[in-house]
Amino acid sequence: MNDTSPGWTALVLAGQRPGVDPVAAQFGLEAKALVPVAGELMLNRVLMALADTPRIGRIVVLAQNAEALLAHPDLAWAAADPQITPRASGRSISGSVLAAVKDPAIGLPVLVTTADNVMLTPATVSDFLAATGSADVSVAMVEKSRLEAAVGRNRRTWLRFRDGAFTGANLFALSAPAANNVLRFWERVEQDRKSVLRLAARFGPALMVKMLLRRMGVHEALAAAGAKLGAHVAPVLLSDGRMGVDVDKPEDHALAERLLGAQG
Amino acid sequence: MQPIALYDLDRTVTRTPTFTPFLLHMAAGGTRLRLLAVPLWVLAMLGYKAGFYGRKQLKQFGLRLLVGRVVRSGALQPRIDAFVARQLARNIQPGARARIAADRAAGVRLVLVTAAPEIYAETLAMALQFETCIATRHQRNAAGDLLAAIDGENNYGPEKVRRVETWLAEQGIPRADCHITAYTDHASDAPILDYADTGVLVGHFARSDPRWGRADWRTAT
Repeated sequence: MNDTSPGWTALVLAGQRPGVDPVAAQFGLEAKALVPVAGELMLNRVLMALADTPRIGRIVVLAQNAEALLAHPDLAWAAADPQITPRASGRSISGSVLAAVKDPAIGLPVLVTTADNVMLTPATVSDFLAATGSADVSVAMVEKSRLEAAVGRNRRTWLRFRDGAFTGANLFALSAPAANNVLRFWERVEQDRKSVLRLAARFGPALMVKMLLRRMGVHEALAAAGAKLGAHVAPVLLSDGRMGVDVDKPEDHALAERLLGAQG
Repeated sequence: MQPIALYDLDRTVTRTPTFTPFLLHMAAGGTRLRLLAVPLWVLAMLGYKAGFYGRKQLKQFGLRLLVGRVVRSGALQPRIDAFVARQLARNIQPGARARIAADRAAGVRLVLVTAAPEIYAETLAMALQFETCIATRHQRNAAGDLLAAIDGENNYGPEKVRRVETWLAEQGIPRADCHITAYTDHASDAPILDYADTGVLVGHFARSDPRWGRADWRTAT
């Protein structure tokens, strides 16, 4: 494999979860992906970052109304770009990602990100892809001190481990077919299926001891979850602390505007 | 004019969120085998953050994974009580206690309005001397035990307003005949802050907003 070959397909999740999105509502818009941040649509920022990443060969915008999103005048460049295509998602987002990955027209490897990942840059994507190694699923994460050094004190939900507190950066690399097992897991969480709930048993005693002593690190936790699901899952810790910021709430939007505005 | 105060729970009355600690407390207090599933909870939270599903699905999954299909029963109640006692001992903001006491003394009707599950929110509300708890409801089995499955919607955002309106109607209190103050740490509660006559954002992370007052409850003064 040639590392510079444009082999990755980027899947941009631009749809919405059920219910009213607080950020879209603040702007009187239906689609959160079309909310502007520091003068650019969120979706446009993400598409531009991906389009400028050499290893990304193709971009698929996945949303219930993907075609309508790309019809926005600000996205005319993307609609005209043959490497950027819309794809209608079904009712289930994780199910739609799974279907896209299984579609021979798309196939692996796939980078999954979200339209609200507005701090995304080509450098971050390149560094992330370079760090995926042999994992079937790589999960980009940001350590708390890095985020706070970059954006100041910030209230968000942190996942706490022996080696620190981390937040997800909404960037996943799916490198091998075993990644489907993780996508299926997310689909089952969504559908509240019993089958995943029998999973608790069959982990080894070493993990139990670590759990009881609260000695589990972030790599171990994801490796254990992956082992259970039948995939090699590993975190990739990003150096850009701003990547912990996604636009989920109006206050995130204000923060992103401040960060991107200051950048000029 | 009946004064009513609506308090949010997580990070308003409490210092830190309660849901994940509740899951871990329940898993650690049982056979402990469920603790082995914690890595899957981490992966489930990452999926939630990326928007694969909503908070309702995430919570139902976490409860089933780390507590079980039945989440409150006679057998589980002691473990739930121990969790509540721990919250009361370590996780209540001094300023919240002071505000609640002052409201009680002034004859304000105290209501806890939270997305936290009724599983423990009700017990916590009673211990803090709230009159009523409006929390996320769970389905019940024939024996009256609570199940992991949520009944209706996660009590979040605009749902809080609907639930408060229902409660007012049950109490026979016309909206015009009461003065409502809402306390919450988060702008995602804009619907309930705007529904109230007075909205107060609690916490040092809260950005000031001309529509709402501000309070910091890390200390009692």
